[in-house]
Amino acid sequence: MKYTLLAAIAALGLSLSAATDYTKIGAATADAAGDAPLGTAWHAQHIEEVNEATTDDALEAFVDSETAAAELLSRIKPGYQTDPLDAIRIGAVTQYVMANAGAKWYEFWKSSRSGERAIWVGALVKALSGAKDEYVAIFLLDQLRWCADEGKVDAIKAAAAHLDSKNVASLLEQVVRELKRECPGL
Amino acid sequence: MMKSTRRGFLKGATAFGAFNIVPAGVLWGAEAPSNQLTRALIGFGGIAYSENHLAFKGSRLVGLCDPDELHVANGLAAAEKQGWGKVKAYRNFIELLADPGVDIVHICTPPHWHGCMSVMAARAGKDIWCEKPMTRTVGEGKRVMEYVKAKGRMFRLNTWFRFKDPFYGFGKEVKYVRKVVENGVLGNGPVRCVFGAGQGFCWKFHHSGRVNLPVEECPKTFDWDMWLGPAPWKPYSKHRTHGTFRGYWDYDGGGIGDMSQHYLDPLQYLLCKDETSPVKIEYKGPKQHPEVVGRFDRITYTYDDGTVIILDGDESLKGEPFITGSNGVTIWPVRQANGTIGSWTNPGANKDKMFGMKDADGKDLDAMKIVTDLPDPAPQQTDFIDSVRMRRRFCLNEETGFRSCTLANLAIAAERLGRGFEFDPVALKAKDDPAADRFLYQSMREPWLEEFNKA
Repeated sequence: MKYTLLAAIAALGLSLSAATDYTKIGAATADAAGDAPLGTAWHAQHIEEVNEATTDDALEAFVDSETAAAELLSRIKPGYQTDPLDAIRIGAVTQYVMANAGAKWYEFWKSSRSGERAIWVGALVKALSGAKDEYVAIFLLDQLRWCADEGKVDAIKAAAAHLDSKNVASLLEQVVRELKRECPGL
Repeated sequence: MMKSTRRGFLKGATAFGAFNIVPAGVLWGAEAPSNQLTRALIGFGGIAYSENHLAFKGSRLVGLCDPDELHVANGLAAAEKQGWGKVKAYRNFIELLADPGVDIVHICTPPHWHGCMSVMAARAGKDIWCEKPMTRTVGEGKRVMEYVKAKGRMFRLNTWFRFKDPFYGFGKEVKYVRKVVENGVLGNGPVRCVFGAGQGFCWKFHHSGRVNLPVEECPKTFDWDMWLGPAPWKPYSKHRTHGTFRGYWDYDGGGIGDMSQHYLDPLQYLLCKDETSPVKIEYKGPKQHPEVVGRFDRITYTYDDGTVIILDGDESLKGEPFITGSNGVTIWPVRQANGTIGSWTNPGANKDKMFGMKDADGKDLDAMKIVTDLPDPAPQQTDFIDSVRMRRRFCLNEETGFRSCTLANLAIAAERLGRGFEFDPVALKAKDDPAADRFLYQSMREPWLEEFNKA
């Protein structure tokens, strides 16, 4: 099957000469993982939705209040089943709240989103404290890596404490190190 | 006796570095099996079958390992069919590294393992031939670069376009383009380079993960925990592994992870930028899925001197030259009679042609004549076995490789951020941008972090 897949990809590569139609890429690799759509093909089919859903205004709406943030995070599903558009939204909100996080005090033209960040991080921690599924917890920790800070380490540890999972524990350990910036090379 | 003589020599070989007039193969009778350096392969997936790993004749294959028992069985059979006889199947790479009978390790794993294994191999006294991209993050690359150098190990990456083979849409090697750049034919100011379908480069967007994967039962013949190694634990699904791992941020960076060192390392060489990195990265494209690699429209690097490199994902720059000099002189791939650009595996009618060149007014220039009249660049160390024997650093080593891999990792960080950022090429950090630095410097799962950080 592997060689059939590779041959299909090679054939597809040869056939794509003008601007590439990424919706076709999924069809070529469909054998490999059943019906699960390929990311590039899914993006191509939903690009307008993705672009609309991830404008600054659209993302701001999710960090206007704790309720809005919590509602978005409630859409995370176990085992890779989160709707791709919601997963993209969540990732985009995480990066949205981190915009200008490194701005100096005098760089008044760079508006920091510290208030929005506090709401979003708070919502992630709260969702973690209520997570019953290992994968959902990992998804949440995987967002906290990018947007929480060292001051939140104790809260994150407490939020994950109820989960009896060595897999969650190992990612939690990694997240704590990253929030403390104890990373190789640094 | 021969073995200990060879090993004893290798350990004290630096004194002989100056005596390189006679080729190592003649000096050492390299064809004799007892005199051959030995290698073992860590990981036996698709790439291990290639001519630089399984089939490489410069050293003797003595063993392999893989966390998938089926890969091990296939590897043993393939090794025997290739003429290596019955090679050893190690239980894991730790056992492989502990074997004093292995001189060189070939790291043929997905990229999330490259950093840790390179450091562990260097610590074990092995020389290293590592698949690309060199490492998954800038932080890992920095550690590998410093550690391998400190341990005095020889290191090479498994890409080669900076020293051999026609370069994608060209009929000849990049050294001819370097001659043009080095000798000011493109002017003495910054250049602009475009990499996309119009210039003969494919960004392989099929290296994408699948959204909404099914969680599957891991086969009993596959050690998922070992395969994951330093990467975060996620539920097993076959598409996250083996031939399709590139589509997941935890392990690689899609087509950029696969191809950018093949494309950008030779560019770094021909632009004489082996010792620096861009100061700015710009991103144009959709916001990415947090787990699954998608595609990009355009990624632009700008160096301090104004040099610009553009990764043309949406092919909107299809009609542009490969390189535009500050004086307007341009370099183009060679087009066949039917208008297509040949590839490096299938140069077709491009074979032995130089490359296209036009002056600032768009008039064709005789690239062959121009290049012939220019002095050659400084010679490179291009034989890795010679590197190992003579302890002479290979041309694509841990330092040059780190810089070109940094180009890949900067692009991947920009994709995941959904925006560009500024970079300090000396401090090797994002400039005043902690969000970007979180992608450039990441931690690892234990116990691999401890192994990576050990002295």
